[in-house]
Amino acid sequence: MIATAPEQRAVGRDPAALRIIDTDLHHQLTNWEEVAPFADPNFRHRIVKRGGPAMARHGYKPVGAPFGTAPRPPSGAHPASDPAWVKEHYLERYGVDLAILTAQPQMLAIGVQPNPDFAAAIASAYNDWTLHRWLKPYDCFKGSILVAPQDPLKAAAEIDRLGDEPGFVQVLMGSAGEVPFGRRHFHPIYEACVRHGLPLALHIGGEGAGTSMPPTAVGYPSTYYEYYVSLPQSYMAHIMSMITEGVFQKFPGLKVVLYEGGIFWVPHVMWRFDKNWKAQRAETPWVVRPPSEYILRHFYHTTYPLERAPQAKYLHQVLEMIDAPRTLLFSGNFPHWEFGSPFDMAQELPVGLHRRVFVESALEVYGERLLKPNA
Amino acid sequence: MGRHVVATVDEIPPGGRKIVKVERREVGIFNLDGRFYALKNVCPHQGARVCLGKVSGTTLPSGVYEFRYGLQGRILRCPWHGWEYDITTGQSVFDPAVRVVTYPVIVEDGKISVVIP
Repeated sequence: MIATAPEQRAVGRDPAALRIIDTDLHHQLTNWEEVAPFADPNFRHRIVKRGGPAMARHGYKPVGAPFGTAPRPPSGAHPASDPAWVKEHYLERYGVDLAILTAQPQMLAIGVQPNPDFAAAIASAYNDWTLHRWLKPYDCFKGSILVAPQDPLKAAAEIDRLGDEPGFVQVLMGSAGEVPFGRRHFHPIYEACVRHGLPLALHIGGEGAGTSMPPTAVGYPSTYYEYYVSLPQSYMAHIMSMITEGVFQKFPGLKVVLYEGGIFWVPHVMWRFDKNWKAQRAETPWVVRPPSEYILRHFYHTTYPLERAPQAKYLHQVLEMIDAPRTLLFSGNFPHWEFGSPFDMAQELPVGLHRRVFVESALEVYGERLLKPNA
Repeated sequence: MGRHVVATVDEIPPGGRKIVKVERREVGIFNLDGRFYALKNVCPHQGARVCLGKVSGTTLPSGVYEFRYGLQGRILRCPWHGWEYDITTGQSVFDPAVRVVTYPVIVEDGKISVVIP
């Protein structure tokens, strides 16, 4: 049962009583009229429109059932559009005590919209809507401050505007971008994250839309599933960029959560990176530790979807390589269960890891804010 | 084992080096501003003849986006994979535990000796 009784709200939750923390719930805004009170008056006419603001999308669409076996309301409404319904039919049904909201797919392309000011205005309105519609009424939901990094100073200002609002527990950017995220003009965003004690979350999905680079390093794939399989390339490039450009030297407290990228590629990056650093570190003399140390210390990964290895022992080896008891977080990806149930997927993890993945690591990454009331 | 005369001081000018063979191993003798150092000619990475590498400096640990080039003449760069070593200690610049074997050097009467333990 979700702790929403007044006396529990006042003192916060008991971490020992938590069963599952879901770090990735894609809440959905379906009626953009709801955003009207929060939209910048100068952009309101472009944001509050039937179907939402005109935003650049990519052309990749899954065939088949996008929601898989996720619970769906009989009304035919979007499964993640009504917080009360999501609480009852997803959280309570599956024993999820806390879920971090990570916005709808369209919003994950906010960082590759051509107009930086319009993108920032959409993100701000969306954040306020999330706060008032989902977070203030429900302590079981936690929020992500969505930012558009095209104008990093505006993004930092948005983090400052909402960073002390107790319902928000992280900053969210799409992983699609115009350049790798280590570049120095992005650093004010990371500085703002650290200033407010907020992890930075990156989520795939905007790749190939708007002003993004092509979704793969060699260009545009033809099909959705080719597109989807290739997406960890974004994370590889961002990790290398953020480390070589000294982001973690400048902001040693910064944590980065990578959503929906899997884990098997991580050891490859760690050790290829270390090997070349030994010979070529002179190019980046501020990178004073082997890159794999920064990766293990600063980056976190999520369970949906885990790669499906043909033998369990392969998965167990990779879990050991990435220090999964510390670095792996449960993600439900509700309601986008196109690759199966997130709970079935997590059952492939060794039992000894479950408590770490379902609860403890998330508490370490997000800290006290997770346990406190939103309002 | 023991002490071996391997060169005269005049043979190796400052900045120069000489590769010698002592007790079935190759040793590089380096002259850094009048001080002599002896390194085994084996890179701890994959066994390359490291003492044939370029002698240079390197960028010192620094703040982000700062470049401070230093240790000119003191860094030996392996010709195979570019790992850099401090000639005075044999230690790599990225991990002091990764090091080229070094030997004590004695200079007496214009003659250079290395001591093989």
